[in-house]
This record gives sequence, structure tokens and C-alpha cells, in this order.
Amino acid sequence: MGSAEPPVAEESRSKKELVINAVGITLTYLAVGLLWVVISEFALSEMPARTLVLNRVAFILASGGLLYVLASRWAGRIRRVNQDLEETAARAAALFDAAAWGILRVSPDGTIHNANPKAIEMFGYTLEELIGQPVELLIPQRLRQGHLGHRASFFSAPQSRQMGLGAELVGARKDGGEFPIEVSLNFLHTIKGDVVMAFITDVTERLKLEREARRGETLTALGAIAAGVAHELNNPLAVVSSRIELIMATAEPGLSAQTREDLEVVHRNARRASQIAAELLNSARQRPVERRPVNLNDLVEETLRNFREQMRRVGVSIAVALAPGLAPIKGDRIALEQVLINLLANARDAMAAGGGTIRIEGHALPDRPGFAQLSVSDTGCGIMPDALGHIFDVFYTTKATGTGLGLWLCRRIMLEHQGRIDVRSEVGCGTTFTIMLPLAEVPEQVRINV
Amino acid sequence: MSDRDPPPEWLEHSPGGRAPSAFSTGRRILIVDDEPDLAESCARLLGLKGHECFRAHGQLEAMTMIDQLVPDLVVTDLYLSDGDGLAVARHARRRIRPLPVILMTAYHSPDAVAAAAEVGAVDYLLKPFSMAELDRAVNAAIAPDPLPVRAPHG
Repeated sequence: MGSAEPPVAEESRSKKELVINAVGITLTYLAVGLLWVVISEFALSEMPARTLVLNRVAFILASGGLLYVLASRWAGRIRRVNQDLEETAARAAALFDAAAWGILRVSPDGTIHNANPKAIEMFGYTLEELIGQPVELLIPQRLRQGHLGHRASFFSAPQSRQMGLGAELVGARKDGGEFPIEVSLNFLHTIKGDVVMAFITDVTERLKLEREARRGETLTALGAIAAGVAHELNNPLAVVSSRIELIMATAEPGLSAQTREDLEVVHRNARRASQIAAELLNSARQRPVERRPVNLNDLVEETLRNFREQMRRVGVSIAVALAPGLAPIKGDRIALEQVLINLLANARDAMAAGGGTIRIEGHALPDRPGFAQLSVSDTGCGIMPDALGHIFDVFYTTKATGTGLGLWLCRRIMLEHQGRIDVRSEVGCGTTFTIMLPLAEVPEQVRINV
Repeated sequence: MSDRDPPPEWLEHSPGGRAPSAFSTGRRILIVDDEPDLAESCARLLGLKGHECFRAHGQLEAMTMIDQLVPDLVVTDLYLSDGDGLAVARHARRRIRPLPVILMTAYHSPDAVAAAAEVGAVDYLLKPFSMAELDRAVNAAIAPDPLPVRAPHG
């Protein structure tokens, strides 16, 4: 016990010792016997009979004692080897039961002979359901045929290896759910026949982390590019807009109404270009989030102040229904304003054909104390169901001029606020975005006045 | 190059000047931007408002002009192709009578805001700004009397 050596090495050493002992005992016995024969032939023949008897008795006792000592040592060895074997088996069983991998024992014909608890948990079957089943039970239906071929080629030239190198392996649970896995195959020759131990790891989490890390890198690079673009773009844009203002300021009486309007359009678009650059920069910048009490109603009113006129021009009316005296939420005012602006801009764009109504509602959540909710609904074109699952993805956009950053940024901001954003949409009827934010102060358990 | 140069005739209507006369609303403004087109835009627009404007396109040029002309106000970009607009701003603020400074930048960042506060700039304009914004910032910086403005680190 307590030996740090691997059990396999210990076992082989014990066996070697056993053999050496057996040979030693035999050789000793033969040598002593030979000596006795020589002595009795040449030396003892002249001895008195009594001495001869004593001599023989002494020899038998001595050799018997020697034999006893050696045999008992041998027995000790055997006992120790057995102990070692038992320990090895116990260790293997413990490993099998407690391993972080799912382990399957599979025979060359692909039948599952045993599965450890982790494998059972991973795939959602019971041990009884697994034993005797083909291993293809554990992969999705569509991949089974291909796996049969792989398995046949593996057993024709068995070799322990990582399975499916370069390919994405997929496991299938009993309930039909699929998950990415990694499998290493270990081929064993045993007296009872060939067997493969398959070690399976569920890599869902790892892949997720890798994806997030990649996204983080993208963001950093994006931030650097956006900063450069914003900087390089804003200078020329400043020249353009300032010159237009100059023209309008100095030559006003001489300008036709049409020219004036054209200049205004150019001016507006120069500013818009710089806003796009700013938005790109904002999205990419990892800004520390402030946590201050923010009055949602004020936030909505202030944001709308800059939007109403613009909305009116494109035939969009805004209806606001805010619960009076809504408790302040905890958050970053600028970031939340950004969320609201993005949602309003999306609503406007959704109603680009023919106008409509944006409805903003804000209220506390009776069933979720400590949270307030704000929703922005439009009566626009709605979002196709297959797009609905992607609208919060970075760079995903359905708009011809979209950046795919707006909603992604909204969601990121909401996550930073420990809040959430949800969407409901019906094609042709409209879309509702709902954001939920934590209140600055969690209300006490019972407040009679409220 | 130094304050001790013989005072030119414009000293009469410089800040704190003893004889603010018909020119009392028009001020002398130094505009520093490595983008000559933009410097010209600003100069012409502020000229329309009755200010006398000078233009510098680099850091050294700007510092020299501050020393020689002693303008009433310095409007400088944060990033100049031959150096840092902040150095220009500091130079203007380190004078015995610190000059008010307005910073402009094409790249809004928390660092830039902090730097503007550190040098004691009276305003911080994000490009592209409208001429109305520039006018408002200039008026706030020079009226009613730009001096004494906040001292650096004050």
C-alpha cells in the first residue's frame, strides 16, 4: 500500500520474484541431496552406524527446515501478488465509476458491455438499457450508417487513438438531444477476447468557452478598427458639414430653396455617417458600467424628446404609457438610453412603409418584485420566425443598411445590468421588445401603501 | 517669442485690456488643427461672428503664436500631426494669465475627456460639431470676461 508505483509494474515484479524463489528452492534441494550422496559414498561408510543415523536425521531436519522457510516466503509472495491484483482491480473500478469521462466497454462487434456512471448520465440511458445494445445507439440516427463503416475499419487494424480527428463528433441522448463529444479509443487484448474502451468527453462547455474567447478577440480587433475609422472619418466629415454651414450662412439670400434643401440633405447625411462611426465605436468599446438609480420615466421622456419630431416626419406616432411613480432602476443611464434609441430606431425602420404606432409601456412587475419592465412595440412588418432566433447575434441584420450591432449591443447592455431583453413578433402585425431591469432598491417584503 | 516683447497695438482689446472699445464683442481666437480645411472653416465662421481668427496647423507653430499673439482663446484639436494638442493647451494654460482653451477631437474617449479636465479646458467639442455648437462654446469661454478661468488642476 502507499506505493506510488503503478499497479502493473508491481504485479510483474512480484511474478518475477516468485519464479526466482521456486528455482532457488529446487536448486538448493538438489545441491544438498548431491552432497549427501557424495559424503555417504566416500566418507560416511567408515563411520559407526549410530553417527550415520544421526547424520541422516540431522540432514533431513535441516533440509526440511530450509524447505519450510523457502516455501513460506513463497506463500507470502503469492499472497502479496493477490493483494496487489485485488487492489489494482479496485482502483480500476474506482476510476471507472468516478471518472470524469464517460467510459464504454465495447466488443469488436460493436456491442456495449459496460458503461460507467458518467456515460450513463451523459446519454440519459440506464445501464440495463445500454448493455447488449450496439454502440450506434449513442449517435444521431443520420450518422449511424457512417459510423458502422468507421467501426469496421477500426477493428480491422485496431490501434488506440483519438477518434474522429478533425471531425466534429456528435453524441445523441435518449431524449434525442445532441451534444458535441470527443472520444478516445483504447484497444485491449485480453484472455477473454478483444475489447475497446471508449473514453467520451462532453465538450459543450469547452466549445462554448472557445467561441466566447474568439468573440472577445473579434471585439478587441473591432474596437481598434472602429476607433481608427471614427477618427479618420470624423475629420473629413467635420470639414464637409462645416463648409455646408458656411455656404448657408454666407450665401443665404442667393440660394434657391432647392439648393438649400440639397445642402441640408448633405449636411444631415454627413452627420449621420459620423453617428454610424460613433455607434460602431460604442459597440466595440468595453465601457465600465455605472450603477446609479435611473428614473425610467425620465429616461423615456428625454430620449423621446429627440425622436418625436423625426418620427412624426416619417408618419410614426408614439404612444407612451408609463406607470406613474415607477421606482428608479439601477443602471447606466447612457447605456440604457442607447438601448432605447436602438429599439426606437428598429421600430421606426420596421414601419418604414406607411408609418404606424410605437407604443412604449413601463411598469413594475408584480410577480417579480425588484424588477421593472419596459416594452417597445411597433405595428410594423414583424420578424420572420427563422430570423427571430438570431436577431441578438453580433453582425446579424435583416436591414440593407444595418450594421448588425444594435440589438446585439442592447442584449449586451442588458446582460451587464443583470437584466434581460426578450422579443415577440408576428409577421405583418408587429414586434414587441421587452426589457427587464433590476430596481435600485429591492422593495421590502410588504409595503402597505403600494 | 516671450511675453516681454513690446506689446503690439492689439493689446488694447485683449482680455483684461484696459480699453475695450468698439471691439469688445470680437475676440482674438487661435484655431489649431492639422486639418487646414477645418481650421479655415472654423476661422471663417467665427469671423462671421465678429472674431479675429488666427490659424496654426502644428504644435510648435501654435505655441509660437500663443506667445507672440497672446490670443483671448485657443481652440485646439487634441491630436496634431506633429504632436499633442494637449501640449498646446498646457502651454496656453501655463501662462501667467492662463488662456481659456477649447479642445476638439474626432475621437471621443474617456482618456480624452480626462485629459481635457486635467488641463482645465472650458469645453470639449466632438467632431463633427455644428458651427452653432462652436459659437456657443466660444461665447461661453470668453464671456463675460474669460479671465480668471479655472487654473490647471483647479
